[in-house]
Amino acid sequence: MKRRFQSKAAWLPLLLSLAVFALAAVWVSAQVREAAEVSEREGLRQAEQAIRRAAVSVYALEGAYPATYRDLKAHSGIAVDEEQYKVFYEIFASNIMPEITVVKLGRAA
Amino acid sequence: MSRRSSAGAVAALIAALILGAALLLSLTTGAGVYRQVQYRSDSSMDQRLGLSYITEKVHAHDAAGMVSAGEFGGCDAVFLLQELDGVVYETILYVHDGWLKELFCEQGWELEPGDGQQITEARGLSAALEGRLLRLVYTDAGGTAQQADIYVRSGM
Repeated sequence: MKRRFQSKAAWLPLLLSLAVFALAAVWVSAQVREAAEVSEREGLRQAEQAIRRAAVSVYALEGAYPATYRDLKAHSGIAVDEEQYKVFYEIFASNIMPEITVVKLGRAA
Repeated sequence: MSRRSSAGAVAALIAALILGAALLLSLTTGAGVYRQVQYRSDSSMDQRLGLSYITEKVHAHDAAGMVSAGEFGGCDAVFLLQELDGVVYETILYVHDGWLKELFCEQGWELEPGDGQQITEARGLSAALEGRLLRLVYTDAGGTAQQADIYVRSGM
């Protein structure tokens, strides 16, 4: 009776260790997932900010906003990963700040 | 199971936990370093951008009576007028809520500072009119104050 009790009790530390390990693994994977999401949001924000800054720079140097996004790229040398992001550049007049929207591709589906 | 093997298993798990924590720490440190580098790069680029933008706007609107300085929403602002098809429009340049903003509207419309379009990050703008000299003190996002005196050739 005593031996049986001892053999059962011997499994407890192992079970406890496995439980701690499983919790730690879940926590680490959650943190890594959150880091990936933050990185994605930050990438989007930086892309939009870079395009806006480039448009303002071109205006400050040349006195007019570029007519199209292609012109903006040619004038400022800005490069945004177009496989990841779609840029919408809508200009009303050459002296009015254009509407710039950057969207991450693949979200709509 | 013996006590020795249990202790060994626990030790191995602790070592694995420490390794995981070290990996996460190196990730967050790397991200922090990257953010610092990015911030410095952005600050360097933005250093004269806002003031250059305002200066270019003033030169583009340099016509008699079309450039003035005043107040908008409780802060200093530069007012630039232009006439299109008999209608007078005004472009108001001001700093609000941490941004240099631009508001383009028909003259006389009562709008709020929050209605303007964001141009670049900034902390403050003061504009004063002294004859034909428009004196600007612009504080960028990094807190550096820059001064510019713009001579309005066409008169105020």
